[in-house]
Order: sequence, then structure tokens, then C-alpha cells
Amino acid sequence: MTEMTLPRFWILRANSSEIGTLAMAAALLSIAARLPAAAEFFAACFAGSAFWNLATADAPRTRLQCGLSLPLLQILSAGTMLVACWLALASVVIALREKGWLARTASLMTLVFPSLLLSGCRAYLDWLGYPWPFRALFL
Amino acid sequence: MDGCRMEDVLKHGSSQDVLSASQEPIGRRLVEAGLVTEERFAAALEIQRSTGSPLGHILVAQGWLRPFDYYRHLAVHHGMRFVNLVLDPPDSDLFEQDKYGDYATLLYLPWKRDTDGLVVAVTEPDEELLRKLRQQYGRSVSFVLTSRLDVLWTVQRLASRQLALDSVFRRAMRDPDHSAMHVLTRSQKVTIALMFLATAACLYLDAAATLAAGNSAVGLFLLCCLILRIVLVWAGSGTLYQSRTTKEELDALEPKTLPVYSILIPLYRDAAVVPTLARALRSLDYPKSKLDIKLILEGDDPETIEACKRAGLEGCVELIVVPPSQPRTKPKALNYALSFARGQLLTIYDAEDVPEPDQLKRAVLAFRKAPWDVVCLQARLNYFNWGENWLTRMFTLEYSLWFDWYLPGLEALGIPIPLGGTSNHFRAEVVRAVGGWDPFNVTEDADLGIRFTMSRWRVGVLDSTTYEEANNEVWNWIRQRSRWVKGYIQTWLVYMRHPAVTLSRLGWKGFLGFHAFIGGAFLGPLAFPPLALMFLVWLITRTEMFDPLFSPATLAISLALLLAGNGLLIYFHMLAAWMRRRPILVFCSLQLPAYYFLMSIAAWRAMWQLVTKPHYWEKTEHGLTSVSAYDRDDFASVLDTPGQ
Repeated sequence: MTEMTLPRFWILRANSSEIGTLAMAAALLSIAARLPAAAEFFAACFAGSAFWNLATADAPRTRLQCGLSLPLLQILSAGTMLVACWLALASVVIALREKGWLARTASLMTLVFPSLLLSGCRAYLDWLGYPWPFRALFL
Repeated sequence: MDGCRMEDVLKHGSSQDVLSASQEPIGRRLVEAGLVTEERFAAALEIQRSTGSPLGHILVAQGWLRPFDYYRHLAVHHGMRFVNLVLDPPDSDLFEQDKYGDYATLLYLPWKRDTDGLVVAVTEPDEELLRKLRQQYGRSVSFVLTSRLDVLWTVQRLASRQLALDSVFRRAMRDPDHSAMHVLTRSQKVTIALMFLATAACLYLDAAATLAAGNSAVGLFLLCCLILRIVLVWAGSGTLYQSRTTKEELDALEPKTLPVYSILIPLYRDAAVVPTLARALRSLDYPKSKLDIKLILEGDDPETIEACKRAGLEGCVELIVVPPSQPRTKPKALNYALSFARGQLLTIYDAEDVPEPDQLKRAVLAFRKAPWDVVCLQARLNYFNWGENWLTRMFTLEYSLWFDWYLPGLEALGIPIPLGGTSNHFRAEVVRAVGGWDPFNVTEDADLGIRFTMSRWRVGVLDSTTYEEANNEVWNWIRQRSRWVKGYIQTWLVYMRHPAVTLSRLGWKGFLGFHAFIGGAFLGPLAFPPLALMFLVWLITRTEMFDPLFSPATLAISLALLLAGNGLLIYFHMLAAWMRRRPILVFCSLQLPAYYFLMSIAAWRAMWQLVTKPHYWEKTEHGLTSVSAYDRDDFASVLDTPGQ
């Protein structure tokens, strides 16, 4: 049997990981197009699919998506901020499934670090007296 | 053993009757001679049923029979004369220097010329080989049988000068434009001189504007490097590139279908790690009769040679001794040994490496599943002594991100992959076709990865890990890192001799990725000290001295790099540590900026060495760790699967 190799671009794997990628791309495009409702919807989809996947299996892409989804929700609007809070709570629940406190804290860190980083950056820029670049979004 | 018959056979060579083997099976003959026990004979037959390898090869490869005894009895079995090439060496006039590769891989040697014609010594009366030799030397050629080790030893003795010359200059003569023999070409020297002059003139005319432009350019380049790394992490985390082979596929692999696998292991002043190496090799889950392991030793390193002899290694391991010559580099040793490699697939391990036992099988499987143009698979590298001290923890973090996330990302995006120094699995004929390794490049592995892509071949990543010993001493680490950075600069300079050619071969994506990944690997650490110093001085003094260097755009880029850039890189290292199931390293990632400082010291040292000693190979000391890969519970279960 001959193995046929298709160009990588056309290998469309419609798994949940790729759905998450598409949702993130749609959210970013909506931000660029100044479409608040669409951006909030797609960002929430992106975050929701990421956390749903993480709840079922811990894969590299899934954890990365979870980590990045929280700051994305944080910068959009008060509504998405609320979703971010709920997902932060979900992060704690997911982390608690690990064995031992070191592993639990480390797991939590890999989920919320980007969010902490965003808050740290904002505090630093405030301290310097520079404007927060994401203020002009929908918040 | 029938003594009279042996005497007869030893007196006469054989020409036509070589294939008329005795009716008595060779294995039974060996048992009757008391050389092999019944139990081992039965075990060898069992292995033969599964692997299809000749029984004698199995017995020798398992270390159950001395090669000399096997070949002596094989000669009797086939009615051929047996010759010991050490006691009865071949006529050196018959030895053709340009054919040493054939002699070493096909295992034959023109031995003597007698009244009837040429007598050729072979190690196997293989019909195909004998037909080829008759075509080559004429119908009157006759054959005697000798030992494989005798042929290898004799080839090394008679062709040592030619082998040494070829291993140093073959690559440079074939493609001088892509050899690091000269650090800079004439046109590169002129370009660099002109750039220096232009910069000096600009500084003279308007120092502030020149420095501001330089600051912006560096910031912009580092931003591109950061963006590439973000994209790499995203692409590399995809499941498609994280696992190529499954446990079920491995279990279904037929041992009979496995190819001969060559393993090249260069050793120099590595006597201390030979026992660990021997254990790692014995743990490999691959039929020993299909392994062709070469320990490549330096002629002036008697301690390691002695340690290898004492290790009691099996018959599938051969010692290749490289005569001392300059440049004293690992790629030169690899080129030397490449001439002796008989496998269809080939890999390289370092002396202190502990590969996962099923790595070779995974590579075979991955090559079968990969498109035909994938000629190399880089296994993941990580460290078994990761928790030993701060340095080993940082080093492990760096490797976890590099090999588990960045390299799969490079593969996914079609950007050239700079190979790591070990556990690269190749299709052997392609390595020969591209001329082997560049002995003047001190990161010959990175160079080879780029060269494959330049030659329109592809490099992939193998989902199997080799555990190495992380440097646990700062000075030893700096020496090693200096060499790596120097090699990366050499590689970058080599492929920038003809940028248009590189662009046309790599395409825009590959070309930009090459600059951002290879260039970023040395420009980032070089730029870190001045940028960090500027930031610290500003933070403490709030001086306005640096304001002219930062336009609003440059300031935004610099802030993004400082905050988001460093933060994201720390985050990526956290993820890499987590996916390796090492939670303590997640927190250690926060200390990475201190590690960057060490990298900068190494990078500046590399720049200095590039000018003063461009081809000097700084040997990394191994065996300094007090941790053994096999002492740790988490590794032992994975690594100690007994091989066949």
C-alpha cells in the first residue's frame, strides 16, 4: 500500500484543540475589527473549550490555551472578567486533582501565571505613569 | 571437532566450493566443540526465529561466542581456509586506498596474490558479495575466510592516513562555500569592515541618533525572535507533533523486518562514564545481532581505550581508534567512523547518554511512517541529574522547552532544525551523500540540520527521550555553552556567505526562521548585558541619560520585551517543566533571568574565541555528577527494560 502524504496545511484535524485555535483567532480578529460582542463570545468559547479539554486530558496545547485564555478574558470587558473569575476557580479545582501540594500549586501556577503576569505588567506601567495599552479595548 | 579436517581446510583457500557448506549445522558444530552451551544455543535459535539473523551473528553479538572462534568454525563449515590477518597480514600493495569504505562496510580485503591469482579475505561467504568480487577481480579470484575484527583492524592500520585526511577535508573539498574551515570569506570580511566604517562615521556625525537607531534595530530583532518563539510554542504543542509512534505500533513491529542500526559513540577522556554507557547500550530494546555499535576513541587516550576493553562489551560493539590529528573535534571522529558504519539507519550517542530503551524501534517506525524526504529524526534530550543543583535545574528547564516544544514547532512550520549533539537518527546513505559532518564547525549538529534543509531534505522530531548528564559546575557549563554559541555563530556565518542561495533553498519562512532562531540564539545573550545594565541604572537613578535612545516606538517595544517577553518565556518554561512532570521546576522558572546572565557571559566568551581560537573544541567534562540515571526511581522503571 502506498502512503499518500498531503501538504500539512490541508490536514484539517477538526478536534477540540483546533476548534479552540479557531475560536482564539476569531476572538483576535473581532478585537481588531472592533466587534465587542463577537470578541467576547469567541474569547469565552476559546476559554470554555480549553478548560473543558483540560478537565478530560492534560495535553500541552490544552494547558497553554487555558493559560492564555484567562488574560484574554481579563482585557475584554466586565462580563468576560466574570467568566475569567469562574475559570480561575475552575483552575483551582483542576489543580486540586494532583497528588501533593507541590504538584497542585505548580499546576495552578501553569494555569494562572499569564493572568498574574498581565496584572503585574499593568501595575508596573501604572507605577511608571504610562497608559495601559488595553484600556482602549472594551473595558 | 574433527582436527584432521580442520588442518586440511586451513591449508587451502577455496574458489568454487565456498557455498557448498557442510551438512552439519554451524550451531551444532559449535556446541560439540564446547564453545557454546546447549542453553545458549537454544536461546540463540529462539532469537533467530524472531529476528532472522544468522545464528553465528547472534551468538557473537550476544557475547556468547568469541568472534575468532566463530569465524574459525565458519571457515571449516564452508570448507574454506581461515586466515588471521594480524599474524598473516595482507600485501599492502593490493590495498587500494580509495576503496577502504568498501572494505570496511562489505567486510573483505584483497589478501595475497598467488600463482592462481588473487586471494581475497571475506568474513561471510555471501553469494552476492562473492559474485560482486568475481566481477571486480575476475573469475580466477579465490577466497579465504577471516574475522570481522581482523578486517576492521587491518583497514584502520593500512588506511589510517587516508581516513584521517578524508575525515578532515572531504566536506571542505566537496563544498568549500559551506564549510567553516574559514570563519569569514573575503566578501564577508569586506562587508563587516564596511559596516564598521559606516557605523563609526555615523557615530561621529550624530552619536545619539546612531545609538538610537542601533537600539531600535536590536529591539525589533529581539521582538521578532520573541514572536517566533510564541508561534513555535503554539505550533509545537499540537498533538500531531508530540507523538509519532504508539505503544501498539511498537508492539506490532516484527523484529525480522528491523534494519541494521549503526550507533556512533565518540569518547574522549570519558573513562569514568564507560560503565554507565555499557549499561545503557545493554538496555537497548533492539536485536543485538542487528546492532552495529562503534565506540570512537582517540589514539592518545589510553585510559578510555582501556576502560572500554575492560567493560566486557558484547560482539556487536567495535572499537574505532582515531589517530591524533587536528582539528581535534567530535565531527572529525564521526566522519572517521562513518566509513565503517554498516547500518541502513545511524544514530549518535554521547558517552554519558542514557536513551529510552525503545528509542531505536521508535525511530524505525517513525521513519517508515514519515515521507521519503524525512532523512533525520531528532530525539528529545533531557537530564537525569536535573535536581542536583541550581544550574542543572535551569539547564533542564531550558532543554525541556527547546526539545519538547521549540523543535516540534520548527518542524511544524518547516523552519530548519538545528540538531542537538546527540540522538540524531539518520538514513545513513544521506549522511554520506551530504559529505558527513563539518569538522571545523564546533556545532556540527546544528550545521548538519541546516544543510539537510538546504539540500531539500526534512528533519523531524522523535517522541523518545535520551537522558544526559547536565553540567553541574558553572565553569564547565560556561565552557560548553561558549562552544555552542561559537558554533551557532559559525553556522550563521557559513549560510550567510551567499544569502540569496540560502533564501532560495530555505524559502522566506525558513530564511526568516533561520535568522530568528539561530541568530536569536546568540544575539539575544550578547545584547542582554548592555540592555539589562541600562535598565538597572535607569531603575535605580531614574536618569534621563538614556532618553534619546528611546523613541516612543522603541520604548513600547522595549517595554513589551521586558515585561511580556521575559514573562512569556518564563511561562513557556513553566509549561515545559510541568509536562515533564517536574513540579518543582515550575517555580524554578522564575529564576531564569539569572540564568540568562550566565548565558551572556558564555556568549561574549564565544565571540572572543571565534576571533582567537575559532576551531578549538572545548571538551565538556562528563562524569562530574554524583547522580546515576539508574539510581532514580522515576527513571529506573522506564530505562531498565532488558534488551533482546
